[in-house]
Amino acid sequence: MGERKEKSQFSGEGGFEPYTFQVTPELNEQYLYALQDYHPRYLEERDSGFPWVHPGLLLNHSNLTRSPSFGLEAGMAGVHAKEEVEFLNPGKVGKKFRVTWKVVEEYEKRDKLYTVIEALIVDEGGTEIMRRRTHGVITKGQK
Amino acid sequence: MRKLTPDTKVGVEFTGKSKTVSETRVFAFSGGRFDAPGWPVKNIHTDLEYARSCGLQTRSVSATQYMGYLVELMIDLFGETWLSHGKMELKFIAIVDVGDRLVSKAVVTSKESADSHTKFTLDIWCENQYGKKVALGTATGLI
Repeated sequence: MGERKEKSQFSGEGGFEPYTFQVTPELNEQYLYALQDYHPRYLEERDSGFPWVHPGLLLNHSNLTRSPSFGLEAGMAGVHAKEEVEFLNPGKVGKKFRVTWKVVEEYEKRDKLYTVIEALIVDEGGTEIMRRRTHGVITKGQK
Repeated sequence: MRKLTPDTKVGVEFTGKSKTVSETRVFAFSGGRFDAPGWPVKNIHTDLEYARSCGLQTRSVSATQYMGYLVELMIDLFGETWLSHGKMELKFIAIVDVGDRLVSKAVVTSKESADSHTKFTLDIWCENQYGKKVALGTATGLI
């Protein structure tokens, strides 16, 4: 595991450590419950032999906060401001997925620093599943 | 649910399922795996004190949770192939609190012939029980 980043912003030197996770049927069903979406495509075998992973699970698991090397000081949190998503292929239950991130832009708006992060989700066979560009900002509590 | 067809006209509006973002569903989405020690994890989505310590007035439901609602509507409109070519752009313009009731909506803003397909562009948004938009943007897909 890489060095944990204790920074006041999303960006950091050296990039962020990739995150690998496996979607079991139980984890997928947890998200079906959360999203109130029990469509059979997520529960029954498809032509490929696997049910599909709910895209909401993949979105949640590709947030930068999932990177093992991401961290913020106490009293700070990342807030999602804007998002662009490209859906490339459905994910399949039982597979492992790998998420990589890179900082592509930083900009100021209303005295706040926004960071644009690109995320790419790829499955264990190398199939690209989803590409995201997330604009995030840090919120801080009073010290 | 009415699905998009090549004959669907600009201006036609679609409404997704109404969903209450209950505490248990937020925990399921943002609290980590059900079987993880200490579940649910404390973060700005699951814990009021934690959220306040980060400068937020209340718990803030993860934007990826209601992005999941919008994805469900897009698949209802475009079909499952949307997960292999669809795009979505969103801005998150208001906090979604635990217990809010959200509904996803879409309106056709343009359509054009592209090869053997019809490309649709939709304005999409999620609104809460007060009719206030919490996320808005556009989506594109092929029929």
